[in-house]
Amino acid sequence: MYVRKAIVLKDATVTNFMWQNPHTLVLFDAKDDKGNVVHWAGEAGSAGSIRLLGWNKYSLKPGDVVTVYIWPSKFDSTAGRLEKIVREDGRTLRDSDREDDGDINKY
Amino acid sequence: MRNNLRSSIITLSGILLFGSFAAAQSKQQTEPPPPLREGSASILDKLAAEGTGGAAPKRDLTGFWGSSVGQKINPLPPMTPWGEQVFRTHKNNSEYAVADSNDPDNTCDPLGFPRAMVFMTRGIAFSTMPDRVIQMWQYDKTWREVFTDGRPLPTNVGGSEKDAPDPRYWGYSVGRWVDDYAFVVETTGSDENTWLDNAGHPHSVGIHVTETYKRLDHNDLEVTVRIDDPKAYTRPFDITTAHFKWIPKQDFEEQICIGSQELDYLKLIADPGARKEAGK
Repeated sequence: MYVRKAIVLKDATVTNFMWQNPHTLVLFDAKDDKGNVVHWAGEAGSAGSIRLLGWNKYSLKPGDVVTVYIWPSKFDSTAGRLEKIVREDGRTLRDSDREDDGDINKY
Repeated sequence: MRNNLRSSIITLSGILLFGSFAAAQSKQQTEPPPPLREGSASILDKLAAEGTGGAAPKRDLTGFWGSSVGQKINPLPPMTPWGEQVFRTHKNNSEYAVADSNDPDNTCDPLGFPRAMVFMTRGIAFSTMPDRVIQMWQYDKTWREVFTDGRPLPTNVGGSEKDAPDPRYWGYSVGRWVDDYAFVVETTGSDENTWLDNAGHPHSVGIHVTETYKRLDHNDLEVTVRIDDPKAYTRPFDITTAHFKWIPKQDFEEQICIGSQELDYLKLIADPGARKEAGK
């Protein structure tokens, strides 16, 4: 479903953060090569699984400007699986569909 | 027809759901984000740091166990013509866009058995009762019963006889200890609506699954899952050998496939126009 090679979208603006199961969604706007605003959807693991990686429902909010590393969908040029999101303060939100599954103390 | 029905549900649900997002967001903006951590290893690697925990208790699997989200699947043998025919009707999430896939998990249908032993295996738990072992899954907080009272497996699940039991998503299971540390579970009668794995390989209701749970020590549990389904596959095979580790905290985060939220996901991941609306 996804090409496991991330593309990087800088200066993306979060428009909706949907903390939910079984897939958390981050909707964000990013500009394409011509400067047009593109509405993206990035999926992450379930709220329960990415919570092990330090996320919670307050991790992002509309208006946040972030850098998005995303594995693009094979079928939709503006949807994908999040690899990670780097916030303006430099902290990183990684997705669960990677080798690191999180903190065992949060099971 | 199923896809049409799903599309209709998605459309209706989407209209109702988007209104709730704004309310959720206003609450999200009231608290600062918590500190975030970085990590670098799988959950199994991290649990391995706990060591063996000493000798295993005899004839006891009771407790909460952690593993990978998905298990490594061994190569499958060739399918029978029936198996091939069913397989062609299954559209998985790797080869099809999520909106076109018919993976039952996309609509939060139960994974069922044996798929639940190869996918969404991050957390399982066991509880022992006098006549059965209850096996529970973190995913969807669901369970199955493995009877240990000596009853036989049904032989006519899905048959036309008056007393034939119906197929079940979790099948019919019986178990026995073959030694102090090995528990063998046999299962049949799994509903054919369930898939064998994420690729969409099929199984028949006549599938016979043998799981051999070996408690290697206090903290290590290994299970080999053997499939014997001559209607679907040309020979028996071990689909996986999974490794589970004892979870020190003996608790799980809740992980549920919530139908309304999945509909929401399906719409937004598949429809750029919906994304624009949901992001307003």
